[in-house]
Amino acid sequence: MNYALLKLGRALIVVWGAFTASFILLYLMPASPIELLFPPNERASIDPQAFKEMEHAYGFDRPAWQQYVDRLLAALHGDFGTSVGTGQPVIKAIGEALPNTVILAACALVLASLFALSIAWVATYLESARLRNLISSVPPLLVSFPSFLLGLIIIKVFSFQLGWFPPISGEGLRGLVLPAVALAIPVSGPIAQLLLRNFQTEYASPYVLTSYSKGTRKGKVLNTEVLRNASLPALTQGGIIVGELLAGAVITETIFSRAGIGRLTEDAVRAQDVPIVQGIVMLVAVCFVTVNFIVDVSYPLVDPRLKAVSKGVTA
Amino acid sequence: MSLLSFTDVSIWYIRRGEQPSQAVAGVSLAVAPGELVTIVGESGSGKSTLIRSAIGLLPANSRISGEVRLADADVAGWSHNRFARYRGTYVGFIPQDPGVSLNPVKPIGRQIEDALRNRLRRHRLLPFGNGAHNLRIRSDAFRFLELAGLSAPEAIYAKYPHELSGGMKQRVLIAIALSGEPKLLIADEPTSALDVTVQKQILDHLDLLRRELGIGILLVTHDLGVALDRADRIVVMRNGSVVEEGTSGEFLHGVRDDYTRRLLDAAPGLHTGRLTPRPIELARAAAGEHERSTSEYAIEVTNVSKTFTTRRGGVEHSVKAADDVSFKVKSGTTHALVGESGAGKSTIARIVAGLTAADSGEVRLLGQAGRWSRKRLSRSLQFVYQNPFSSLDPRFSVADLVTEPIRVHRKDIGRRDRYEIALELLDGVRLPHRYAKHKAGELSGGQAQRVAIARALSLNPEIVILDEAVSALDVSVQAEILQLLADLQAAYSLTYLFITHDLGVVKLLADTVSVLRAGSVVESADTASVLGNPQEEYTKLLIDSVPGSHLKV
Repeated sequence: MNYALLKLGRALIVVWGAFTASFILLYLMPASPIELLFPPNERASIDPQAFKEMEHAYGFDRPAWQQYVDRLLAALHGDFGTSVGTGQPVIKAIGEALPNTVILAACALVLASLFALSIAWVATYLESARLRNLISSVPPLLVSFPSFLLGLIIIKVFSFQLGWFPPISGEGLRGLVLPAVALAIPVSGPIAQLLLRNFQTEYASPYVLTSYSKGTRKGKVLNTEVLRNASLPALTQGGIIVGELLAGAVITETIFSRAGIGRLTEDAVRAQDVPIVQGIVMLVAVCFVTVNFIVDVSYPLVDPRLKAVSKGVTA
Repeated sequence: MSLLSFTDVSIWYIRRGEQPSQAVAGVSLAVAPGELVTIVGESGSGKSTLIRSAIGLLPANSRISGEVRLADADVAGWSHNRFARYRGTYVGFIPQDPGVSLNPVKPIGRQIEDALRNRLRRHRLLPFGNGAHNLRIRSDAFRFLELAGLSAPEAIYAKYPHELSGGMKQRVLIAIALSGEPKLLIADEPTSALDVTVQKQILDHLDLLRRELGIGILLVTHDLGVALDRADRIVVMRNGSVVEEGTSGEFLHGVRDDYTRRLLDAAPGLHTGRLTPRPIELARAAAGEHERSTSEYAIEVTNVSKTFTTRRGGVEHSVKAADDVSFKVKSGTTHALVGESGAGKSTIARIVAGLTAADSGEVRLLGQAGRWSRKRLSRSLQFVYQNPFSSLDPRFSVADLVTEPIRVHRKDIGRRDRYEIALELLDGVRLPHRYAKHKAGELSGGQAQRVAIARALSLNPEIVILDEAVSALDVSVQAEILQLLADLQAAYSLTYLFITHDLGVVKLLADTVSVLRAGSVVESADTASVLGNPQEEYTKLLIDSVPGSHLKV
């Protein structure tokens, strides 16, 4: 219990740190956010009186520390301000975009995990060293392939040439397939590399020999003995994988013109819509911290060796 | 008809870009029902490789020729899936290291049930309604755990491997091997990692199973004492070939082969009396011109106690590692601390060396009590550890390793002198001068332990603590190192505190001995009377458990 509280405390500190860092980077920039509302060529001709009023309306004229405290308190209530561009509350803009991205990321994560697992499993199962090496070389290839290029290739082949799926991802399952695959492939690379290495180490462990000596066949040895031991360490990568999914979503959603957090990020950064950008930074920080917290807290539950033992048995 | 026969079996390991290395060269051997055959050999003799070929567990980079016959099938080179039919049901396997041979994230019960399910799959009455089938598997699992000598199987059924002791894990592995009701058991050093008393129990148990169930056993061991005690037939292997084969009676009446003779001579359990030191061509005593103490006792430990407390899950656990321990060691003699794992031997050694503070009691070194400065202490007292490879930096040259303490503590001695001293020390431990330039990683176990001993002697200490210093070595190397230690003791008038779990080596080197159990001294006297006429039950049990101790050469 103490352990969970400690981890929770650390998670909160990370979120607060992310808020502070994003505030410093975004709000204390030399350019005033109000200026950015106007096209560059009109900025010189802004009426100073109107500028002052707008600054006052958004609260940008007060001292930095006061702005910080106000925004922190507001953020604690879930209020990250309103979009400078659309006037929509940040929380609402993110809330609208989030479900689309969650569906995309979840599909991509499932695809990536299955793909990575099959690579690791097959590479360990095969007896032929040549085939095994061939399959083992797939993950590094995936890692090094640029994802924007991959997305474009996928659209070119499957939408324009084969016409199987729409190039622009709308609602429904058919529109989800291509972006999910495009997002899954680069994410599966690092997972596959990790699993492959773990499978090989675990497969070389003496308990595998014990299992064989019971008369178990190779496929079952992999499924019942190696799989769990090899995939547990992959859990610790959860936070990093979520980060990769969100980063990948920006590119994928832009390429497939799919509404979601990625598109929202792209638009907000392009328009220098500071409140939205900060909202997204906070969302990513919270996701990251939550995943890591869940992994930390649940790890002792899935690995019995980490459970606190109150009494041992001795001969 | 024999259960298992090897006919002219050769096994190679191949590595890309290297010559194939031959591990087994033309071995022929057979095991009949109810027979216990042991293969004896030192590390690198190919004994484990040979027996693994009989259950198809050779690594993927091995190549085999010849015939390995199980019942009527030649199984050499079979794939895992083809072999699955024979494994468990015809041939059972007990692996070497119980600590890593069970799946760490699976409860014990599930691991033995897996074995039973593999066998009983064909006997299921219906494809559904698994209740009766599961119940049967569970009761079978209990039966085999009991058969392997675990009296309360329900208590460990839901436990994970890390919650059991080494001896219990080994029994679980035996239960798994028995659960397929095999006709043949293959055991790869099943007791080498265990305490002697546990070793005796497990070997007794295997003997019983052989008599009652009539299974054939092929046992691999490096301990000739174990083989002489138990085996119907003994096969001695060296460098992949069989050098001698015979019954234990034939072995004791006279062996033909020189290597077997040497093994027999080296087996500590078969020895009587202390080693006599051979003269050593005495070099100028290393880097020590400091005055040697004249006190009668080099080490005096009086009423030392030490308790370790750990907190887990909010509950405090305390372990008494030393409980009112007292003993004295005369200058120039060897005192052995003997006991099983967890007896507190190493804790007491650390307290003597000042590495751990005692809760109460007093330690006097060379007649002086009180705190010693680090520097003074390292000049008078040095350690030699069990594993030379983990205590020597593999990238240092032997000469640098040996003189490392001098470099730290005697800044006045220059580089060239240090090299001279290193060569003298190598003479002392009988290692040729050419090794001075070798790296530690290139040495064999025995050579590395010689280097570790030379390093301990470099500051010319008066006390050397030998913490299981010969336990990790092959018997023949162990015998050489023990002899060397006896020689050095006479030459440099050293006092040894000799920590070991092996009573066999105690009588070779120790003048006095303390038997420890759970932190307290059970018996302490001179070696001959403790070993020859033990007063305590526990000491008797320990002595009785040493393999080969009842035999006369």
